[in-house]
Amino acid sequence: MIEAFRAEWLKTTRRPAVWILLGILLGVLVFFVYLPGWWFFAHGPHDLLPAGTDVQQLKAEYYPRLIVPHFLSTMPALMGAACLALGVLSLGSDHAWGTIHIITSLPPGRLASLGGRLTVLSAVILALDLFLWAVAGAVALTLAGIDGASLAGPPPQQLLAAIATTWLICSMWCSFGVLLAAAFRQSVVPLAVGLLYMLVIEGLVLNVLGGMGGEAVRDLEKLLPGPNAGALVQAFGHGYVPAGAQVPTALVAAWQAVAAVAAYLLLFCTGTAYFVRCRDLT
Amino acid sequence: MDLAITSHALSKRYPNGVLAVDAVQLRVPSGQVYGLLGPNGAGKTTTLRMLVGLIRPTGGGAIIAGHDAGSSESRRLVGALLDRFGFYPYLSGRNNLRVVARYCGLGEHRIELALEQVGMTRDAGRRYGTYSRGMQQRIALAAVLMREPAVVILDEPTNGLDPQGILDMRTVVREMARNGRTVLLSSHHLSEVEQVCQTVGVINRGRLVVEGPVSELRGARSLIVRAAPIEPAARVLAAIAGPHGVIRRDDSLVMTLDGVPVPDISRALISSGVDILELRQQERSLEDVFFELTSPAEARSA
Repeated sequence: MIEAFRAEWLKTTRRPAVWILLGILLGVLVFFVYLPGWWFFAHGPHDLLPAGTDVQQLKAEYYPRLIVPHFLSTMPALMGAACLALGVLSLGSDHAWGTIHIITSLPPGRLASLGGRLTVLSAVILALDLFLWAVAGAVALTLAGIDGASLAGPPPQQLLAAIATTWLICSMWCSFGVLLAAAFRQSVVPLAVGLLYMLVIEGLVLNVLGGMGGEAVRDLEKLLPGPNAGALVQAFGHGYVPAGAQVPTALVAAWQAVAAVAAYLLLFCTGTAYFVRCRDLT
Repeated sequence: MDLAITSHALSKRYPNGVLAVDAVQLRVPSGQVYGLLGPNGAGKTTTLRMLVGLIRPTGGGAIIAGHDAGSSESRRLVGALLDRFGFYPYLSGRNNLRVVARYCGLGEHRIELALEQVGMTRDAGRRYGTYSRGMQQRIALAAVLMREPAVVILDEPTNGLDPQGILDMRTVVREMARNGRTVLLSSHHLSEVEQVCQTVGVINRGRLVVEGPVSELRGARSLIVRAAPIEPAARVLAAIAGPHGVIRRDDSLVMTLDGVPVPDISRALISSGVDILELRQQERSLEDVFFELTSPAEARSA
């Protein structure tokens, strides 16, 4: 599998699409998650905020101390979508370009090459994860420095757990993408199906139905990957909640969410292995 | 005879019920170039893909250099250039070969050697997506050569190539055989197969209808004789080739040449007082054999 890892590493890290995804996430992190909010709370017309809102507390969310809940409130979902695309492109393009025929006829064999591919993807996701956390840290330090606020960060254990959580969630969505690519043997349809499921079905339809008070919908959500990933993120706490606003409650306990996300990761990898091993390449 | 590839009742029935390959028994001699011929949809590509391990047989099996086809051992010994090959368009030709080399655990020096062999050293740094079809084919061939496989499987290797590319491919195939490799190739170009292959198999509707050395399949050469008067000429030829060795076709006689030197035949005719108007050797081409074997019976009789 080492040979397959080395080969997959070369083709994955040289692929422009991977760098484009990284660039998009970097842009989103800096120019959507951090700068606009901080700018608004620092300079914006605060009379738009509800009465009794503590602007200083809202600004504090952009400082290193609260980097974990602030990063986790938006980035895992966006990174998950990007990683789903990464997974789809990784295997789907091999089908589209016909490279899968060459790879499969080479010595390591189907499962070893899949193992190499999945290992490389998880390593790329880890690198992406570390890089984005590092950028978030740098931005938070800069903003705190500008405002003359404390530069102290979160407890290291919390930070490490948050980094690991982001990696786990992104790896799960990525493996979902690889599974869809293996099932459809192309990139376009699995990308559409994956994002539709992730963003529309789980992100919108179930949220709306759950909000309407359907207990059955909430029970169903407890079994799905997205809500479990959300519950895992919520376990790290939340930012400032204005007085009178509803504090979000986690769907399931943290340990249950970790187990569910890990189980989905394993399930998606196993499903992919089944498709890759058993199907003919015509 | 030492065989590099043998298959035993190799069959593939697709889930939709189509029997693409029906009990094919291939016998590919070691160190030879073997041509697999057949019309479109005959089952050639499916057969080759089963040998490479891309498609799983639903019946029978194949052995390549002593190992089950598709096993990791056989994959180490087989280099394949399939009809739907592809490489990464965003990588250079060299980096594409590097991917293959890493998969196979090969050193970097093999990449440069292979590029040199196919004449792509100068363009190896360019993105694969910018290559012409001929250059893409050369990179694919380099990927095969780089591995120095004992058995090479080529599916329609000259498809889409210009005349120079076809000539180069032919040279490479001959070179591989000279170096002791076994080459199994499928092709629509019968003249090409005739030029480079020692043995051929003809596959039609999933079945291997004939297999053997090219010379055997073509059968014995024949001699066309136009002479006057024709009756004494027929008697002379029958005395040489036997009564079944000569047939009369319009105003000519067609005699099967079975090792008899043509000058001896000419001398015998002249000494019997016959005037020779035309004496011409005729050889059955592989194309004739191919169409005899693959055309429907009604078309042949027509």
